[in-house]
Amino acid sequence: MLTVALVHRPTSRRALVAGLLGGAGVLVRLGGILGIAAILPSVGWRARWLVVAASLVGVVALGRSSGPRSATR
Amino acid sequence: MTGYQYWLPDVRTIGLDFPFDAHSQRDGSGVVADSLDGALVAWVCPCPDDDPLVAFPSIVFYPLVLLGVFWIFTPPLTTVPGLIEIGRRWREAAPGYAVWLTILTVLFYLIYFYQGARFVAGPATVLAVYSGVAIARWIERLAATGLRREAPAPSDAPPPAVLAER
Repeated sequence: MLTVALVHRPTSRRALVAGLLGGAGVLVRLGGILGIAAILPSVGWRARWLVVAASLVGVVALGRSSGPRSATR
Repeated sequence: MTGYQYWLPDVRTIGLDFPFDAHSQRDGSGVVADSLDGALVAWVCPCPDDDPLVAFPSIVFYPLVLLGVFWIFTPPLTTVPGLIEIGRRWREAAPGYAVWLTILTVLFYLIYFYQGARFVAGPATVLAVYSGVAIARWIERLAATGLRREAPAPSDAPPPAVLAER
């Protein structure tokens, strides 16, 4: 619901926050990637890049948190 | 490595046959309960565990959940105004997001090995929000047309000069 509010008038700052939220959603559940994918076609190119860049924080954090464990097993 | 890879190493997570598979793995009403206890879909029973939520293949189940037929997230048909609203305004950013979130979520979980109403919690909530928006717009429109009918049209009223002659 917060993403709906952020995407309603997607300024740069709001796109960044929407991306961060999306990334956090991926950390909670992999299906959260659908939330990020849903933002992309509905905003302009600049906002699109900002959303992707911001969401990578969550995706990278997920990779780092699951990486060492998988290496030990 | 994710929990799925660790705990379910042999499971086929994605498959084009899952949308039509009535026996795929699923939550049932044990995880996210339905308020109506399947009353509107009682015709589908006798069903496994007497639970109508496990009786449908995903291709029927997810649309029913989004329409609120089970009353899991929203009352029955409450999301219909929201669907109409986002369908009309899908070119705008926020309704567009709602459209894509609904489409992508349903499409992905159709081909997913596991069925659960909780997967569509996001789209169901967003549709409920847009139902509120749609109903507010309709009430506004009704009020505006009502006010227009009550106010005399400018052409009907006699001009001030005529009034003065009378």
